[in-house]
Amino acid sequence: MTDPAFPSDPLSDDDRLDDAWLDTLLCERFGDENPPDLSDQILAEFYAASSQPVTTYETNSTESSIADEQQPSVVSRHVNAVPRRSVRQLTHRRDSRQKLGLIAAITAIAVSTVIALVWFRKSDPAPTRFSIDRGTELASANEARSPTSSTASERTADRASEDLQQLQGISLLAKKTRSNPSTAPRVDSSEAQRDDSSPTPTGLTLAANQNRKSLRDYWNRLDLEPTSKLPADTLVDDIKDRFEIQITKESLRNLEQLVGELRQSENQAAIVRQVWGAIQSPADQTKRDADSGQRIAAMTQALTDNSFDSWLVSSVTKDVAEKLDHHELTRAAALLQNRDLRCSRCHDDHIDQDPDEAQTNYWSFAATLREAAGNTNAVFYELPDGRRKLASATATPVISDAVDNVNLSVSRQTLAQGLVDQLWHHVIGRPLSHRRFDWNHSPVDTRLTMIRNRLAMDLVAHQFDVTRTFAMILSSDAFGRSQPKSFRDDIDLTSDDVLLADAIRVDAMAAGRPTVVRLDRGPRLALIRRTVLSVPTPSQSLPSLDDSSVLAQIAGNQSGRVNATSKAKTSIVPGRVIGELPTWIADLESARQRDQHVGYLSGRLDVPKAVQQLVDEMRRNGVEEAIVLQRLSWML
Amino acid sequence: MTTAHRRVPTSLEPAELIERHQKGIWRYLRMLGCDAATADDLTQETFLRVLRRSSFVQHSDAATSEYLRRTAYNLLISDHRKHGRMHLSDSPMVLDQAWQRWAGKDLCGDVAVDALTQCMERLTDRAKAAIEMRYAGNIPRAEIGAALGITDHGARNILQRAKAQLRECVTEKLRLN
Repeated sequence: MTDPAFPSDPLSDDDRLDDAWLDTLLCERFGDENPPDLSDQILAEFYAASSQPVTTYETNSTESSIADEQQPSVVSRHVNAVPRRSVRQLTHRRDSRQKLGLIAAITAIAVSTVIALVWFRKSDPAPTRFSIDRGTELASANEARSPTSSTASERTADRASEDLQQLQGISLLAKKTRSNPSTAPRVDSSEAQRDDSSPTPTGLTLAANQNRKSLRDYWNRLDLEPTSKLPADTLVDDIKDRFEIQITKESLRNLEQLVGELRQSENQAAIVRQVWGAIQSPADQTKRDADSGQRIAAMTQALTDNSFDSWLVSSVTKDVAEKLDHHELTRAAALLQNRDLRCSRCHDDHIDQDPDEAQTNYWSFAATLREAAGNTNAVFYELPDGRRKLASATATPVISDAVDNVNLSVSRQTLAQGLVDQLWHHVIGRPLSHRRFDWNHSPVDTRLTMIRNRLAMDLVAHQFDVTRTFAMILSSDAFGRSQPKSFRDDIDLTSDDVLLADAIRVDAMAAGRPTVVRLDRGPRLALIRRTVLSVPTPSQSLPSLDDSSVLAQIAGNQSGRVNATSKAKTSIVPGRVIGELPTWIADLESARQRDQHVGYLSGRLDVPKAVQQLVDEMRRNGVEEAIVLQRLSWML
Repeated sequence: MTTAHRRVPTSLEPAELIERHQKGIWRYLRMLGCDAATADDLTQETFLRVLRRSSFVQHSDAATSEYLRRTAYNLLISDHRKHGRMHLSDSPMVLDQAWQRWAGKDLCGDVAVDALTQCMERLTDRAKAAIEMRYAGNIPRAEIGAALGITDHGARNILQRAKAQLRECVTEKLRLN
């Protein structure tokens, strides 16, 4: 049975994938891009080693084990076909493959042996809640080897069922602990009896373990090897430096202890500041700084009273009502509805045609928040064709447990998801939710969505106890990873696969981000001028920076948001040429429009004149458009 | 028993395997966003990988198709990684569901192409013209609008409506088929 409180998977949008299929078939029908007959090429390459016998495989109608079924028979065969690649290339490829295959086989055997040893050492004769994970791993391993004995639909159903079981497990445990959030959750006695050999997992550790597994699965899917974790001493110092939170080394290995230490009064104040830093709009930092003291005090009180959710909604609503600012509104949408409305001010969703992200809904959302805060001034907006329209409020943003109640604007679950995403981004530096408008984002995966949803469910079940969430994020496998050894900031200038793979590891949270560097716009422009355009720059204008820093790229738009205090740092990740621009930006007709939209995504309504001049200069010098736009984003 | 779940003959030659599944894999890769040339390369590579895998065993057409699709998907990810691209699509499970709707019946998508041809006849002349200009000539939206005597946004709307109509018509036909 499904949990009614659990929202539907945002990635299971049938229409979107149906559209992709329709596009494919339309291209085929009209664009003369028909599926070719590749039989000859494939067979030629397959049989290229004519001296080698060809192996065919008997298929088996029974559903016994793979090892039992496989009865290869040897058949000689020659194919007269023209291979697409030259013989030399084919030979080289084949040799390489054979060597790689041998290495892979040896590695696989070694890894399997180690896993088997660990498995048998740890295995418990009695089934535990963790048996779901083990079963999933084994099933995944079997699937990876070959089609299993069941049908495709059965396997698909099995996988969906496993995912659901994992989520339901968290949901049920979270519900059990809901009545008393101040105490550590307990598992029931029957569950405890199942596993006598290891400490009984609580809801907290169970959720953390499942999140770890999801993250591992995510990296496996991308075929990424995460870097090692930083030493405990370094991590403790890093946490102290970045978040002003003092913890012990031991707590890094014990989530319950970590939560306990974070609840200490001096750490609680720091956590409040961090949460405050995570949820505020970077574009309105100055205004907010003026009354941040009062707001932080109110937030502290709300956290103490277990009314943080209500406070958050009213605070965000008030901000939008005071000033109908685009940044405030997109922040409100991100927090209250976990939606990315950055483009909806002017456009209907032209990527996925999502009706929820149409321009009408953006303005309706604005009118709703304004009305809720008592501001009755009408909100007008312009349609793309120039007509003006009155935005209509839909409903009062009342907090509710309902997920899809159309009469209520904010569900507690969605609010929790938005908050989790902001906190995760704040601590890890990369978002959990896919940001489809950005070209520098984490790869899409439902496992990341599951992590977000688990954390959100835990948050809801514990009256928005953000300390728990903060502890779970700090204890996640994505936090505290070391930088790749080969990593360099000038990765933009290389086509080395290893370096690019490292950059992807950073993007996918499997490796730590590079050194934090703070750089104002002036030096940025100077560095671009020097490195991209080879214009000499006086060295004194670039203090304490070498050329390797020039191509560092801001992660998302969170400049100045890593630390809520005045000691804010700019986080950076490698900037590199991604080879292709997102479709939506490539579709823009003029260079000026592209620049303008990069500015919008960077949180600006215009591109400063000096920056624009430099961008124009890069174009005149024939710099590739993708690089120009990435540099523009970096300069902004 | 549906066609997709039928048992394959007891012995399957590589040539037969390729013949049976290559269209489906190619279209699957195209649906994932590959251009035609990349789809060609990855289709070829997919079959080579699978045929060379000593542990490869076929149980049914559907299982083999799924295995080939999973291999193609992983190759596409590797290809993206190699080129430093980060544009990954949905999980294989979600993609498989779409696959079942569009190509699950015949494992190659030919039925869907036929359905599309029939559904095109239901469009208005202007919508048909807009679709043809867009997909046959790759003409920008503004020029399509100019050709039809409407604005850029008008052209966008007419294209969106036509595609929605086609999508609905094709999926309905496939469902009934």
